[in-house]
Amino acid sequence: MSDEKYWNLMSRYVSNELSLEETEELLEWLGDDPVRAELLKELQDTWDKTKNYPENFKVDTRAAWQKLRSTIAVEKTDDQVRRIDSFRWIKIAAMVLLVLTIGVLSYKQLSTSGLIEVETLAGQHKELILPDGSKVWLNSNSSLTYEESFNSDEQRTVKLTGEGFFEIKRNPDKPFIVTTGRTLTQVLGTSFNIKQEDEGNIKVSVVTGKVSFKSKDNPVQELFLLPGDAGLITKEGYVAKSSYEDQNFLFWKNKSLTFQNSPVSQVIKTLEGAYEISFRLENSALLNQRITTSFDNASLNDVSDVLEALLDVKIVKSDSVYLVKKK
Amino acid sequence: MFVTNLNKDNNSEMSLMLDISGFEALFQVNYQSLCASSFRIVQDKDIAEDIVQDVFYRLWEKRDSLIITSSLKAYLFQSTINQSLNYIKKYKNALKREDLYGSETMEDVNDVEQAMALKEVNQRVEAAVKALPEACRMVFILSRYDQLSYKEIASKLDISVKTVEGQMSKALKHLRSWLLTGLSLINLFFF
Repeated sequence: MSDEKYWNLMSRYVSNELSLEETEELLEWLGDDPVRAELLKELQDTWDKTKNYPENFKVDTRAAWQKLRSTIAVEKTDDQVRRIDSFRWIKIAAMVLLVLTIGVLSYKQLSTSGLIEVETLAGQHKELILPDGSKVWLNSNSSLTYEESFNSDEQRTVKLTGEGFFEIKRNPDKPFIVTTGRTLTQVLGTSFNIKQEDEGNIKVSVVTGKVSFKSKDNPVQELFLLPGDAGLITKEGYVAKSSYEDQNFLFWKNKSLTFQNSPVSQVIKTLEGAYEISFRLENSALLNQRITTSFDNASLNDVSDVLEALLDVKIVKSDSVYLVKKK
Repeated sequence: MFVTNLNKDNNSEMSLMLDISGFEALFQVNYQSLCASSFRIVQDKDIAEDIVQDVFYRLWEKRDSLIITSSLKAYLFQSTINQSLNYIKKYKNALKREDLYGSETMEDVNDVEQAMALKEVNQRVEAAVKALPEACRMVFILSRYDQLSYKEIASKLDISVKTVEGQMSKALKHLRSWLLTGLSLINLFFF
C-alpha cells in the first residue's frame, strides 16, 4: 500500500475528517509498526502546536471602531444622540444635585443607622426578606449590603457582589436600586437575576416587570429590559442587550433545567456549569443532536440516566470527567 | 449571542434588531479574532483589518434586511473568510492550477534559512505556516482554524476533495518536519 494513502489518512485523522471505517483501517496500519504510531503522534503534536497561530496578533480595536463609525450612517440613533447632548448640561446639573442630596442624606443616616451585610460562602445559598418585603436569593460566594434604614430612605438601595435573584415588592414612590460593580439596576417592582461573571462582566436577566440597567460611568446609555431580556455591561463599560432562551441560568436557585430541542453541545455546557463537572465525548458528532427534556431537583445520576436513554450512550465517571461512550 | 437583540422567530431563522450600541459591542467583542482569521488567509495585517471592517460595514448597511440562519458570530466569521478568500483569488491569483502543483520558489528557501535561526516553537510555527505554498496553506488554515470539512474547503476553493486531501498531507508533512528539526526538508517531501 502506498505511503501517500496513509499520509492522507493520518492528515484526515488529525483534522477530524476520518470516517469510522477509515479509522479502523488506519489503526490496523498503525498497529503493524510502532514507528507509525510515533509518526501519527508527531502529526497530532504538530497540529496542536499550531493552535495559537498567529501568536501575539494584536489590532487596535478602538481605532478601528472610530474609523468604521465615521463611515456609517446612524439615522434615528443620531437624532437621539444629539437630543441627549442638548440635555446634557441639565442632566449633569441634576446629577450633581442628586449626588449632593444623597451625600447629605447618607451623612445624616450614618449617625443613626448601621450597615447590614449578608454573606454566603462557597456552596452556601441564602434566602432573605428585606425590610420592605422584597425577597432576595443569594448564590454562593456572594454578598448583599444595605442600610438598616433602607426602607425609610427615598430610594431602596442595596449593594450586591456575586449573584442574586431579586423579587421586588412594588412601590412606585421608592425605586429599588441594586449597585453591582460599576453598574446600577433600577426597578419599581419586578423579579430579575444579577450575576457578576468571572471576567468582570455584569449580567441582568429579567423574569417579570421592567428593569433599567446602566453603567455608573456612562449613565446616559441606559438599557430598558423586559421579561426575556438580558442586559450585559462589560468590564470595559460596553453595554449590550439580548434575549435569553431558557431560564436555566436560575438553576442555582430553583434546581431546574429545561431543554427544548437544544443541541447537545449546549445541554452539555449548561450541565457542566450547573453541576460543576465536565464531560468528554467519544463521538463529537453527538454534539449536533438535539434533545428535549427537563430536570427538576434531579441528581447527577438521574441526569446521567436520562442522557444515556435519550442519546443511546453510556456515561461513565473516570477521575474528574464524565466520559460519554458508545453503548 | 449577548451583544445584539436577536428575535428568535423559529429555530433556524433569526431576524436582526441591531442598534448602534449593540453593533459597537459586537465589533468590540469580535474584531480582534476576526482579524486574526482573515490574517491567516491574506497574510497581511492591514488588509485583514480592511476586510473585517468592510464585513461590519456591510452588516450595518444590510441590518434590516438580513436573515441569518446560524448565529451572528458564525455569520461574521463566514463573511470574513469568504471576503479574505475573494481577496486572494482576485489579487494574488493564488489558486491557479499551476500553483497548486507548482514547485517552490526562492522565497520559501529564504524562509527556511530564517527559520533555522529561530529557536522558539511559536516563531517556528509562524515561519512554517508562512512558508507553506499559498494553496497548501489555504487548505490547512481553513481546516485547522475555521473547522471546515474537506468538502466545504473544496467548494470554497474550487478544487476537488482529492486535491484538498493531498494539500493537507503536504502541509502536515511540511509543518511536522519543520517543527521537529527546525528545518523544512522541502526538497525531500515535495516529491
